[in-house]
Amino acid sequence: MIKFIIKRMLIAIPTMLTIIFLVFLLVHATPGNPFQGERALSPEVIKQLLHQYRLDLPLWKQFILYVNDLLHGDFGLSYKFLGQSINALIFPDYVGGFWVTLRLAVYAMIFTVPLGIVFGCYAGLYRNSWFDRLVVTCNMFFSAVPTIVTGPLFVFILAVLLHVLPASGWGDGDFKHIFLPVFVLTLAYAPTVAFVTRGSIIDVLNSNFIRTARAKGLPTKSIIFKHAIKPTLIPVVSLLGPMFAGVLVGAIVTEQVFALPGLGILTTNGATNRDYNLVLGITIFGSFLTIVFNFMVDILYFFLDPKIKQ
Amino acid sequence: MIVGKKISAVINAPKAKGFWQNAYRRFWHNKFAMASLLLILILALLCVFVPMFSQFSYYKPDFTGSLQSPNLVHFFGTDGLGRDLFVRSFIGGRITFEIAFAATVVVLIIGVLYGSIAGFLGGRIDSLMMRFVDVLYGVPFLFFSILLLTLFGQSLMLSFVAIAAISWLDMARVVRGQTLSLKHKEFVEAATVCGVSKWKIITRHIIPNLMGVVVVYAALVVPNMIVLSAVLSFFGLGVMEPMTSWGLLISDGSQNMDSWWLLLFPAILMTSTLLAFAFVVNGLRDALDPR
Amino acid sequence: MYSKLQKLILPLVLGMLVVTACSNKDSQNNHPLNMLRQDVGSEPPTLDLTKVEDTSSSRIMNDLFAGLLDYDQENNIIPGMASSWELSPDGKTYTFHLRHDLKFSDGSAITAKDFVYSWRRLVAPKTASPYDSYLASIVNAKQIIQNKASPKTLGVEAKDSYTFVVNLEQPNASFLKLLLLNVTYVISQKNIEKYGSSWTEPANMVTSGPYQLKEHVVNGYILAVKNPYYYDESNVSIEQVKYLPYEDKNTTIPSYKSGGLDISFQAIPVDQYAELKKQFGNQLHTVTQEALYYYDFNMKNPVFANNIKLRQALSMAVDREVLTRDVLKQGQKPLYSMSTATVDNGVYAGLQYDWASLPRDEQVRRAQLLYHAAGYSKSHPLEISLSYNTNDLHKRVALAVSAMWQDVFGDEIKVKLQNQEWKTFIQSRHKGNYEIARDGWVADYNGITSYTMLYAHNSGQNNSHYYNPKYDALLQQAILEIDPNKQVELFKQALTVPLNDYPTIPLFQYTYQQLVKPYIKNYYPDKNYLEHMQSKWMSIAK
Repeated sequence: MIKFIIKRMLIAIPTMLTIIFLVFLLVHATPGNPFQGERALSPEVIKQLLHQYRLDLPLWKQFILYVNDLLHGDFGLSYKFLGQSINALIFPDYVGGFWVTLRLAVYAMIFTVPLGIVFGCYAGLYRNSWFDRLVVTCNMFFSAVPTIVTGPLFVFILAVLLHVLPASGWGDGDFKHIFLPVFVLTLAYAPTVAFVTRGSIIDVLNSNFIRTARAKGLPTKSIIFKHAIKPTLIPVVSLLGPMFAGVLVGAIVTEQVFALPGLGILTTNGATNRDYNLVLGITIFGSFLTIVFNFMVDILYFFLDPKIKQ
Repeated sequence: MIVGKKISAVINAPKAKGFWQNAYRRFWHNKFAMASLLLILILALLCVFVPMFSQFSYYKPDFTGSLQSPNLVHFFGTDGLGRDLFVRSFIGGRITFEIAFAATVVVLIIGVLYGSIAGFLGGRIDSLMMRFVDVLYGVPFLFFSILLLTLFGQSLMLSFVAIAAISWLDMARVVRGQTLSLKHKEFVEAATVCGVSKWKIITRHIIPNLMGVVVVYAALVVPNMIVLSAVLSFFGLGVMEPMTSWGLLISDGSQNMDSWWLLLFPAILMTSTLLAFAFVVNGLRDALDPR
Repeated sequence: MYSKLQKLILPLVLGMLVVTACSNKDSQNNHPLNMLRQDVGSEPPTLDLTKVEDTSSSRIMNDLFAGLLDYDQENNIIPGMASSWELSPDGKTYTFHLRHDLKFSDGSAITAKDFVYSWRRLVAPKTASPYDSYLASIVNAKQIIQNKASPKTLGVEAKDSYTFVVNLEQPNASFLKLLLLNVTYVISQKNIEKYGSSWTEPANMVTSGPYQLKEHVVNGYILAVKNPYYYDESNVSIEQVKYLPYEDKNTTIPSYKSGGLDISFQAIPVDQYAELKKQFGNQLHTVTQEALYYYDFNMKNPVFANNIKLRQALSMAVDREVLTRDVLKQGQKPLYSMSTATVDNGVYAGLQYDWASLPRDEQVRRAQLLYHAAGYSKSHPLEISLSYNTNDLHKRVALAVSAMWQDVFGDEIKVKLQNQEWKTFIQSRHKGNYEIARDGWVADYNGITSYTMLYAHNSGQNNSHYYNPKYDALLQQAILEIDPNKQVELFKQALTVPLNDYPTIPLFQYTYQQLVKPYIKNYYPDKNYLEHMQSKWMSIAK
């Protein structure tokens, strides 16, 4: 078990370093001065700003200092929000930045996973029923159609036509404002979870050891709960890792569509504002989260699949 | 007598058809898949011919005729600058398809070559190559593309490079897996023994046998490319005015929800294309690998 | 199977209820009493007064801080923290007498020393303020800006706690007008020295104006509440102001419609204007703005550099009446001069192109003659690119102008539109990587010198890179002239030079639009050309 963890970490570290290096290079390769605004800046001011952001140092020095800061958990200063630390932007004291994105992602997962699994099981158990066909169709539909289409469509129906919900904005983070984004995100992923669960439970129920259990005369309830569940969930769990990363990224698009003050908006605004440090920081943080989550899923997998334990 | 019957039965048995003919036949009988293929073809033709033959230009503004709802002159209505949405939708479709297919071709070439080389050479080289793929997997694509596009300016070329650069990974993985299993087949051993160069083995023997899987995967990649380019355009990256794409049209439409036609028509076009591709992919899967 | 479903559904439903209950905070969705909710158009890049340069931050700064002078809703100067002031006979020294009851939001007294500190901070290179040269007319300011002198040598002093003296290098008729801009307002030295760059956080910030900062959610909202120590506190009616950074129209308009917003930000999407006017009538205000919209010729480009006939032809070929009346439709005024019709009370409004009043076909005819004389024809067409940044308004104008050129010159011209993202665009323009580029300038104050720098040599705002030493000489003369009437004459003479040189194509004077709810009282934006808004003017009727 420990060997496994160490092995995974050994892969994760060079991955992180490579990502940091690539993005850092990319960001600093741009020509021009990031502080250029419509109002021309005096040369002294530009010098001062370049100095403040360490841009007057050679590139390799900047990189080392940057990595050093990272190790202390400091993402540096924002270029656009002059003087503001990026940590304060990503992890503010109030509900904003990452907390908003996290909320979105967590709520979406809270609904996606149980609903997906339950509906998938139901569909698999009652194969070819109307419900099963509904699940399969939904999966096909929502896997194909991206959030940038479903988002505005639902906003149009629920907010503009029916006036039931606000079109966008975060408000106080209350139910009205959070419902649509979470709903749209869930719609994007729940059908896939359901579909995979369905496929999995069908396979499992047809497998030898279940047949044996049935032949032995065990009651169906017990078969499903005690024997079928774990193997059914294995493919679902392996789906979760990339799915969570997908939800986080999906949150970017969702935040854009619904004007929510999370990491998504920070990233796009950061990109358009040439706020290099901010986009760099968020990219690195996002990769870090993905790696951590994949890691956790691998551990969960370990516990679910007896074959790996050997 | 019985023996004779048996022999004649064997002689007169229907000829076993080849792998591809069987696949083709199975696909042909899949109603959904065929209908979807037809839909895609129709849309593609519309994308080619509508802008060519329409009386309206996709970029010339008509300030007096802005924001008209669908009518007999403008089937899809007009946008805020008075431009005919029908024409713009299909020009947008053209761009979307062009990017998607071009990116898919690039993804195919890179992915197939990379994966087959890694799988065939095996050992250290394979490990290293796949490790590199793992690292790239960790990069959040959207961030990267946003970064690329904002740093190096808007260009169709760049957005398509960004999309292709991240998407070849899956293809490479799949191809490598297939190569690994093909590596040990007899015909490959035979070729090695005959002294055929590694490169020739890869290109003449391995890759053609991968085609089944690759075709399915390619059909899967195209809609992904469509979605990715739409997402980028939604953020205002990649496609520049007056040119448009479905993503851009949808983004504009969602900014102007009072003019519902601006959102609805591009959304319907994109959705039906994506769904059609999904059916085609399913059909291909069933055709090439029935279970 | 049934019970399995039941087993999972029950906790699911319970979970959902718990989750929604937790997030259902006490939200005030009906109109909150005595709170003004205003859209400021984008998340302010900074709340540090000295570093503010954009309109979103500016709007907030106007409420949080105050300065020597105040202004009314028509941009006229009225006493602010200075109750009176005198100008020395040689026109170079201003003496401001401060009120005796001035206090910061933490209760500490505001004295002349604080103004000294604030202005020194503005010019100091270390602060890196984009407005560092705003007060360049003060003694030693230029040297400080170039880092050749310490900020302590700035020609301002606190004669005593209530007397603030400013020494100018030479007389400057517009000096008092400069003080209406918030970068000259007063900030607390104690506060900034204590917290450094985090002084702008709600928990730390000390303000000098009618309001103070209470909450700040980046990309969410900014909340300000009344500053009880403001000298005119008793006349400030609105208790709280919430600023919302709505970047796109899809958020602002529905929010306004559903009662979530009281005042919208500047620009209404062009194609929604007519519809909104119908829906909201008087709530939709259109105000002439002290701002120019024009196109730059790249005067370093050989195609344009020595071909004045070409430049004039292209300028004449644009039908500004149609542009403002039919394309933009928001009350913009066509522009045929180098400055606006409203600056300095319209004194320069008459300085226009001599062909401005000609009938349109005559303009077109002359334009075509000039174009041919410039050397362009069907066999030798002009191919140029027109650059603009991604924005609906700019797109429209560019499409319209290129269509007009196409109309007038037919096959003899080929126009390519180049759309770039904002930051890339300003870099290209600044470096001269363009042929014709869209440009604009919002005046910092109501004075002709707000605009004269656009054509001055080596001015950072001279994006066309136009250079005519005659202009620079006349301009200098005008600036130094003490007699006001003579000065106006000299400015007119100076501006006639670029007028006849066609380095730019003036198109129109901006307007800005605002949706204002009827229950917002005492707010009269229609003559507020500078668009300096203050929440303290308004009150909310119930």
